[in-house]
Amino acid sequence: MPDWKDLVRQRMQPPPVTQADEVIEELSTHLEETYNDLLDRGCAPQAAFERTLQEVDDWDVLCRRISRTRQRRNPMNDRTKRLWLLVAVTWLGASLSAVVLQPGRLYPYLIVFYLPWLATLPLVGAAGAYLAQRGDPVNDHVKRLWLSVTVTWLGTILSLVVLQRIDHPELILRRPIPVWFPLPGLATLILVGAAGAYLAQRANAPRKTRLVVATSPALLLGIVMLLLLPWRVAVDRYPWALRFFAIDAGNLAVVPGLALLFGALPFLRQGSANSIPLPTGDVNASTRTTALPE
Amino acid sequence: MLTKRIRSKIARGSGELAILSLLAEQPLYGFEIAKQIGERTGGALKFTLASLYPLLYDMEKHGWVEGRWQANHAGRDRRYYRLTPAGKKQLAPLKEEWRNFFRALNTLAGVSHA
Repeated sequence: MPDWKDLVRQRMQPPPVTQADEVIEELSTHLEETYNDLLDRGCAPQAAFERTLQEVDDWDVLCRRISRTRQRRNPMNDRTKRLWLLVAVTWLGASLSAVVLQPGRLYPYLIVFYLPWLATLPLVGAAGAYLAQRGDPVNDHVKRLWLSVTVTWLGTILSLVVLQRIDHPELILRRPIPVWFPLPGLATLILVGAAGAYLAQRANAPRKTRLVVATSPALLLGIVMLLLLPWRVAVDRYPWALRFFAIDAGNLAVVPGLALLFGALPFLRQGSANSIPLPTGDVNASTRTTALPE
Repeated sequence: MLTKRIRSKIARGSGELAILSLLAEQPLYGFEIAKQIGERTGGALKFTLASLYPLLYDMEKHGWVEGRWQANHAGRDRRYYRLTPAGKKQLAPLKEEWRNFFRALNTLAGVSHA
């Protein structure tokens, strides 16, 4: 009787990351039962052995496929990848729209930071598209989620650029704007947050996703401002950098974020819509061999 | 390339349906799953070890099936798979998808599933 466990252990190299012993045990049991079944059906031992080995064409491929499935669930799951794509594409669209609508003047700041940043966005979009390509084609849920993100972003930009009369959006992170946020702007942001969360809810997005969608413009602006802070302090030699940072952060991230959140609240409280999960698709389908090879 | 991908998806989908349908009847271990699928489809569908376990583990990862080691009457440990509530929920729409798929093919090419 061949030592199936030893055979599997030798051929499963490298062994699966987790529960390797369990996998080896299970696969060797399967081979052993296949072998015994062939013997019971009158096969000669050598022929049975050879036919049993045919259960696996390529041990390397099998090993990789099993390792992939036995790993802990990928922290960036399909839904996250899609959401990332949506945010990246919307961010690109919103940025370009802002530049086209309000070109402003080419300040050194703009040349040094804004244009290179803009130049990287197609790469971000390409990466997002690549990730999406690995998943399912865009389906109805994703389209609806995309719509929710787009509405939130366009609404926020409309509120900041038009209602707040920020005539040079490229300076939005540099110039302090009045602390007082006019009521029309706040009201618009509340409506935008509500619309974003509502649409995300209709896309069956879970509560956390709805929260992120509704507040994403403020979140991203806050992150970008934090990244810019060292520049403003060290390179730009802005004397009141920290003070202005606090004012800008309040005006562009905290207050809008709270307004967006306030609008989104009713749609965060309602029962999670994730009982109907987004179709996840097989992200690795293109690289896998067929499940039924014969 | 596209054809290969579609074929792979069809094979995968049919494999999932076959496994879920079998496990809806009773818990089974891997060898038995492969054997029953082969026998009950007259050999039209056949799982090898290499095609069965990655799919089973993937379905387990999705929470559709659950594997548990259990000793049989001869004291031999085997990993039995059973359908989870999520797997049961998955089965009905999967069946419907395949029904629609065959209906569409039948309309187009006169390929009947009956």
